[in-house]
Amino acid sequence: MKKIKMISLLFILILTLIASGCSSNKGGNETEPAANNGKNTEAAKKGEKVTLTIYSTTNDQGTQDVMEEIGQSFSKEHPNVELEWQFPANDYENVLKMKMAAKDMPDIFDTHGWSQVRYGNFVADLSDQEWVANLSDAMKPIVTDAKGMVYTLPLNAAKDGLTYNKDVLDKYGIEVPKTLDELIAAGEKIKTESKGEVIPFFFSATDAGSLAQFFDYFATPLLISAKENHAKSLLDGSFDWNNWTPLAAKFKEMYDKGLMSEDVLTIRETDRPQLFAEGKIAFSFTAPGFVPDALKINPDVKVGIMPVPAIVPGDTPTFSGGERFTMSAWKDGKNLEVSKDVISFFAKPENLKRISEASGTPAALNGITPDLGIYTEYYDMYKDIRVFPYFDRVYLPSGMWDVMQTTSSQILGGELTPEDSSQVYKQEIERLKAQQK
Amino acid sequence: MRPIRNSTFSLNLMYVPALLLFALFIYYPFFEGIKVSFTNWDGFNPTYSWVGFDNYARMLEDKNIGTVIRNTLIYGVGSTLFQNLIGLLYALLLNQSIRTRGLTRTIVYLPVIVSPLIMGYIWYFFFQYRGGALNDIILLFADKPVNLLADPQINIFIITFVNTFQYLGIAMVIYLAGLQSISKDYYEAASIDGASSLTKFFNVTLPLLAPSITINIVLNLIGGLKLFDVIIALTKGGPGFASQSLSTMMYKTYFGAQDAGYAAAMGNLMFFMIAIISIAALIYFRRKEIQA
Repeated sequence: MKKIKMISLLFILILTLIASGCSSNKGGNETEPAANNGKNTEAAKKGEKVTLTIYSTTNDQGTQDVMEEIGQSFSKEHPNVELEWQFPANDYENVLKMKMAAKDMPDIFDTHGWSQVRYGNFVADLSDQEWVANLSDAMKPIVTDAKGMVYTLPLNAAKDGLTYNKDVLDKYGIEVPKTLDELIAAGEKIKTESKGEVIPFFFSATDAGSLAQFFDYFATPLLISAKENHAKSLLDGSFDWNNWTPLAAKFKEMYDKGLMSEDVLTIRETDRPQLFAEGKIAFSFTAPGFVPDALKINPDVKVGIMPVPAIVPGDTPTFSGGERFTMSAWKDGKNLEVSKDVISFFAKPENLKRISEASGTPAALNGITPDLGIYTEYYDMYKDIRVFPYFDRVYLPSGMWDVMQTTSSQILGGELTPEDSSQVYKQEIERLKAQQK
Repeated sequence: MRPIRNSTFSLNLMYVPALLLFALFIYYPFFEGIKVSFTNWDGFNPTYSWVGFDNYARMLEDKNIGTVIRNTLIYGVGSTLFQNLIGLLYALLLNQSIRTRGLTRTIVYLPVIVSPLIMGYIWYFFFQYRGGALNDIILLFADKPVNLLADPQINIFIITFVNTFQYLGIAMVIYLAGLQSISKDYYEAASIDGASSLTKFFNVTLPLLAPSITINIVLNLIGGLKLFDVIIALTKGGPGFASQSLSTMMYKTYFGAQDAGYAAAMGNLMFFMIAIISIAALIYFRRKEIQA
């Protein structure tokens, strides 16, 4: 009996080791993609029921509602096609990473600026779609590679800078700052004259994306937008990361001067709309995505958006841009052709207009003029401001967002100096580049 | 008459399905994790490279790993200590014939059935700087609120407290079962010998509770060392790495830093740490049982 038990146990252990050793390996350590079941595509064409999963990074309810309504319109025209929406919010990237590892991607998903670098192996080529011809000149190089493959449909365009409470700026007589030093001076004035009641700059170390966003925004004026810049050295890997330190030092200066909230280490992003609505925040280093929630609390709050102030003397403010929400099709999806049809439906001008208006962001395709409501005057005012792609999407490898979050949080917590943080950037970039070879 | 050997063979076949499931969901991921720890896999791409023991060497040079291991041990050992002390006290109290003992047992046990993430958020709302219940009380007596969750010297003990609060009900239930299995004859005999309450507790109750102590200590240690949800809800491991445990650090390294290889190495470290500590505790307390 003992012998039989031992043999059974050994057999199962060996099976497990073999299964583990055999998984995900073939010579060059590659995993095989899931097979595209052509039968199901044919079934869809014959009108048999098809369910597509769609994942989007859209966080605000208004835009989510519009996207679902557009999806319902598609389903009305194609009654056999049902769309299942998922909006994982802050967990979006983690969920997609798990799905990539499991080779079980959604049929349609948002690539949030990483269509080529991160999701490139998983997306279908959309270059044969009609809407491709209408891609704006700014968007074309972002979503298309050198071989002409189109990775994603940009549903709208990011043209991002800072969001500010106009009531607060008017109350304390603050002009929209054009340089980072002017911005810090404005923060000091607000702090002094409000006797600490108003937080000049909203950050959350717990939801450290807000910290990383500061660095992503200001990396462009520091290193890219000026006439003499470091774009080439960043791309060819010869960049001296000591040149990053001044930005980290400015960030620490803002903290040391008390220009962030007293509880910056524990406040959450979910607190921002309430505080903004109450006039207790002056500047937020984000696009105005949180503003609809603030307006629900206080419909009278006045909102302004401004470009990212310059840093290098002689330079001018800029916007960070690229695609905001997107739709890509999983190349190994069971219903790839149906997925492409859904994407083409969303690419219709009237649908893209609705998405732009709901999200308060410009359109990414030509020939669409959305009414951007309270933001219209600002986009008109700043229509000639230069738009640079988001810094991390071009100059940093995939995976650096976490480094930006962690190091900035550690700077605030006193665990890291600005100089040390530059070295961490250097080390992590080397690690990620080696990983992605 | 059927030969005994055939009957035994059939019995052995009964546990093979369970063993197969165990192999699929425990052994297979475990061996996969060991394999991944020798690579630089980012967690989602089809390709990766073998890096040998680089990830393990990195752990030795990682400035944050000391803090993380220390926190893990505080959560594990700290929670275990207080869960058992308080759980035993409750069990002793609620083993008496008091009117509300049924209701009190239920109330003490209720936190166990709440999701740990929800429990963490409940206490976050208590401790939070803006509008937290604690600061609402403090502001009645002081000018400024306190930010306990931002203080790395304090927030790890808040996390330990919340974990203790949630699971001391389980310790109480196991100790109650242990207490109720002790024959009253022992106490009568001790009374006849003139033993005081304290003497009875240390010489009768505690030795006969040894099996319950063993179970509680080992289970609480494993649970505390693996703590995750409460940390995420209260502090997300911050500020910086100040309240990270091995499990939260693994999660952050895998998903945030896209460093599945290093995360797997940390996972193996966590496995061996928990295995060594819990086996050592099991052996120690089992010996005490035998002595008792």
